[in-house]
Amino acid sequence: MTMTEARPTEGATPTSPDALSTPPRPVGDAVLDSADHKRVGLTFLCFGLIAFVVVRAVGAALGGELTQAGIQIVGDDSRRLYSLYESGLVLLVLGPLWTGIATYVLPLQLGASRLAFPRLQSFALWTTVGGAGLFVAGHLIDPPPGVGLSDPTPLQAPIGGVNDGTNLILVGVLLLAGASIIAAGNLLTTALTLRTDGMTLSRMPLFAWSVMASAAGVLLASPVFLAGAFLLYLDLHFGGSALFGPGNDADLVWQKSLWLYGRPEIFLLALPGLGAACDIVVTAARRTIADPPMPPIPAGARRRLRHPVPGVTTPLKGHILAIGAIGAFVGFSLLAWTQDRLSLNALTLPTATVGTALVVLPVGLLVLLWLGTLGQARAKPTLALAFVVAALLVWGAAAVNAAVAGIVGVRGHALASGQVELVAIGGPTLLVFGALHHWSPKLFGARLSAVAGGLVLLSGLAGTLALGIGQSLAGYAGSGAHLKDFRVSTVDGGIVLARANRGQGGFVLAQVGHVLLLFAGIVLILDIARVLAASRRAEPAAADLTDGVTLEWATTSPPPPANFVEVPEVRTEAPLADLAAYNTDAAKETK
Amino acid sequence: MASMLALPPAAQVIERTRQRNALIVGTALYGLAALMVVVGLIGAYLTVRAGQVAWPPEGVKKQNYLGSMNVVAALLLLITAEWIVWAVRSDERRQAAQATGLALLLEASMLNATITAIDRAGFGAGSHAYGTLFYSFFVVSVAAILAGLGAVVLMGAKLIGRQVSAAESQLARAVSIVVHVSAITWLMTWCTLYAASR
Amino acid sequence: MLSTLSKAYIAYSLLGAAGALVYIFGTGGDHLGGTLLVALVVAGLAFATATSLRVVVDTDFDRPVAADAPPPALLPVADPGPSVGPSLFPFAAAAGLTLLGAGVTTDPGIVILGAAVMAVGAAGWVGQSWRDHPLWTERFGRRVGDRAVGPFSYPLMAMVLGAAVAFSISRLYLAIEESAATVVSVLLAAMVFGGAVILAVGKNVGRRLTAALSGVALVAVVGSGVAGYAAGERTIEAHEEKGGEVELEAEGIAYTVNHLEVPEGVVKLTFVNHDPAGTLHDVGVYSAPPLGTDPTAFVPGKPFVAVLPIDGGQKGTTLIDTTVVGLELGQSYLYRCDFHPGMTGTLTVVPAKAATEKGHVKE
Repeated sequence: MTMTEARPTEGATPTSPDALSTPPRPVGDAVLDSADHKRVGLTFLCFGLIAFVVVRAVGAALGGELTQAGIQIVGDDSRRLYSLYESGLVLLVLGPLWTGIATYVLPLQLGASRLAFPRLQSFALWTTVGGAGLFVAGHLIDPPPGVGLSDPTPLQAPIGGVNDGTNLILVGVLLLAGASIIAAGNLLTTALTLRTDGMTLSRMPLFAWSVMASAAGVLLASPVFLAGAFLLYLDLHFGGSALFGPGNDADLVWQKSLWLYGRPEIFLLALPGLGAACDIVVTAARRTIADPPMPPIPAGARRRLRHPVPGVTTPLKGHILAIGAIGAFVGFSLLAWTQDRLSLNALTLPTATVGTALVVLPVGLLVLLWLGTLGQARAKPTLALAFVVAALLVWGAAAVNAAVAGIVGVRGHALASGQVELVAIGGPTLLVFGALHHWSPKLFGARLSAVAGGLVLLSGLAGTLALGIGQSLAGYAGSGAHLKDFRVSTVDGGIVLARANRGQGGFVLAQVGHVLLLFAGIVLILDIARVLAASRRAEPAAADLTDGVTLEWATTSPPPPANFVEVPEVRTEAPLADLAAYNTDAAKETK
Repeated sequence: MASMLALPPAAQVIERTRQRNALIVGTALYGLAALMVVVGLIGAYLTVRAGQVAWPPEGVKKQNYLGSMNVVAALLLLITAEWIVWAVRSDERRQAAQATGLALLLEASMLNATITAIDRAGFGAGSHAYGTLFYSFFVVSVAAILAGLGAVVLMGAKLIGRQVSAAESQLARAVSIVVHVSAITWLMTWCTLYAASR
Repeated sequence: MLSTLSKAYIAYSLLGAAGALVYIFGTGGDHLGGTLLVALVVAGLAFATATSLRVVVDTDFDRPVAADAPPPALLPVADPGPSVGPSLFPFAAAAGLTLLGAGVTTDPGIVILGAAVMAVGAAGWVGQSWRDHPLWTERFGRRVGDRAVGPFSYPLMAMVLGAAVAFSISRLYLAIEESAATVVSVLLAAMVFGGAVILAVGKNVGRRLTAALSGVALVAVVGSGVAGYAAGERTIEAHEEKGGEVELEAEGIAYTVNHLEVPEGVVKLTFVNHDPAGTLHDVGVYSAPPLGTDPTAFVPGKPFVAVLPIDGGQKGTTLIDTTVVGLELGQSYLYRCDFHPGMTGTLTVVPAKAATEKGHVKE
């Protein structure tokens, strides 16, 4: 740590943890009218978790039909439910969950008493809920053509004309995108303007940095999605297929603007997770990210190196490198997005491989920094760290799967589904769960149960791996994606009328994964409900400065309405560590 | 006051200024997002146009009069928005009111012209790809103009309430950003649909 | 306003723009490279804006700590501005927006409802932030309300209220049966009368009671109006078409037709005088002469109606309402020219449907 401070002079009052303890008990705001970012963030989280259970249940119902021939759970509705399942995981689950965590935690990490525009976040919350309602209602009223936004080809008007369902879905999507833009702008403004005294951009916690980067990405990318959705709405509403029909070059417009898995926001869902993982590591290690060893260059040259950040005296500062890695992740993911279809062939195209590899580089750098930090601090493992490891395992499995697929040559499109489940959904979901456990004292008032957390971890990890690998195995066997149900061969007089679907074993494994993930979600919700109910009855716990090194640990659990009574002055990236070090020195002095 | 001792004076000024700028920064970011919508539409327009032989399609007559008048109004709006900010910062309440009124009239005239242009288009949003893109540009412009109208009305309300002054001029700058965005949205639309056509 | 740092970024962006133009034209429109260069230009301009707005300044990246600085202190939380209390208006605005979205795909009525809710939410939000400002006082708020808001809002509210009541009642009447309409009318009258009685006679009729009664009445009326709108209109019986057209001609000091059938109701009579100019004719309708009397010698009393005195070679048209002038259905009357008593004919009033075209008898 680069702390240049003098020995305390006589008469200076040592800072005491008692000054931060027992403020008045926070008054509970009602849910509908609260402008308190903590209440709004909690509502986002509740919405996201309930959506997780609902969407996963839909997925389990769909998957169940594929395990054996003759099982009918949803019947002919499977195509519209596929659309709901795949879009819902992105729009209804991961988006609101990360928005909720960021809304709650960001002002705490910055030492601010509120968001920049508190009531606007409430507006974004209720617009999200309303848009989600319209989105789901649209899927249930009338069947949309195709699998909606998760299809690489444009949504056509259904036979018989555009129905109310398709229109409702698009209006819901417009509202959801608009709400995410509003929330992102709010968070970014808070990070840029409401930092506490002494917190420069380079001293911001890494989760705050990742929220800034995601918010900037959302502000740039989501409006394009909005434009595409609006174009599609106009096109379908006034007769259908003037723009997105055959004969126009609208395929490219669809893929760049509307197709969920062709857009940069798929990567942006992982970005807050990387930031949260960095903070989990930093808290476990009780220090900021360690500086990596310098390359062997002479000391004179080292001094003459011009540093990219003015005033930073140590080159290759770990914290700055981590910030750079987060920024690079955004940049490279936007670059990877410029690749064409995320089709099966793209897995082996060199341009796509290079693009995706570039995204992997910053992640790899971060992992190395984490290992270095944890090793140096000889940190004890925590539950949240285990979730981070689980996410890395899932991504590793996806990488191995992609390599094997490239070598073997795969025929079935179910592989793409499996990869999406692992990379875009599974990893970020595990990171969300880890973040919830990490910040649970602040979010819910007390730490979540370790036993329940272990259950969630194991079933979440096993479920994600089973789901992703199961679908990939079906793909290796040659099965397609988005199947209606499992067909066996029908043979009539020696002639094969219909070929059986292949990959039944893979689908059975995937179904096991679905059930495990559903179980993980339910256990998590029950645990959170229990902790919330208990903390409502109890007094807020006093701040413990040894809980972590960033500012959110310097207040009570849960925090008071103004977030802090007093904020420690920030001089480095780990203000509480400085405070603790000073207190130790002061205690030694007085002895 | 421990904070005063801990930080050098210049840094204190920066902290306070930065906190008061939250409204301006936020409005600028949302304005950027709004402009990105237009950029997305321009991208779609260029992509679709590249694949067509006849553009605009047969039977579409481009009428430039209303669009050009709107460009003039937009340019005037850009200047009027800056006048609002200057008047508030110089504590000239009367000029601020005049500028706000002028901005209101200009926004209303732009709204009128844009809606009339949609009315007189001569084709529907579902007639052909050009129609869909045309309508989407115009609806987005109308939305931006409505946002500008709302901002100017808010400015008027705050002026009546004496809640903007030279000391507290952030709202004037924020309102001017929204008005700028509404004008620039139209300018971008006009450039794409009329000025840069083949 | 432009700091040195932002000027540097603007210069860098201009260079980048020039480079982008050269590159795009030179390579004949390469998309990827052009896009990257344009992105660099945009990034430069964004940095220039950020630095000129003092959002990002040099000391934002690092701030060295002096060697003799005091130990890290506990600071009071920085005050970002006026406190922001709870508010239901963001929820209302969001609900209105959702209703608007739902209505756009289903029913225009829901669009209007959604827009109204959103307008209320937005207006309330602005109003609340206006009142939250530290400079606002009760007295000032009242003054502004009296001078600026009241003169517009009270008449507007009155108009809206009147329109809502009128619309609701009309919708209600359009939906219910004719027989039920009488009951409803009596109920409405009783409501108004009863309310007036309570206000006039009641001793302790306070604001609360008045407001409660008015509120209940308003909700009842508007609610039934909405129900009527949703139920749709009943079939309204078509009124019978009454009246028609009759054509009469005169030639050679005689009517061309001696027996006229005139439909009940408003009749358009067209009279053509084919005689030479100077010979005036008209049409006068009188009571029929008693049976057996020669019509040409009959001297009737006052005519029911005497119209269209026109010169020879002319044509005239007029409207006669048989019920107004007193011609009864099924009765026969005498019509004759007042200038030439020998010109007579018989006119019978028949039901509107039975009359043939132009009043001639069907053979």
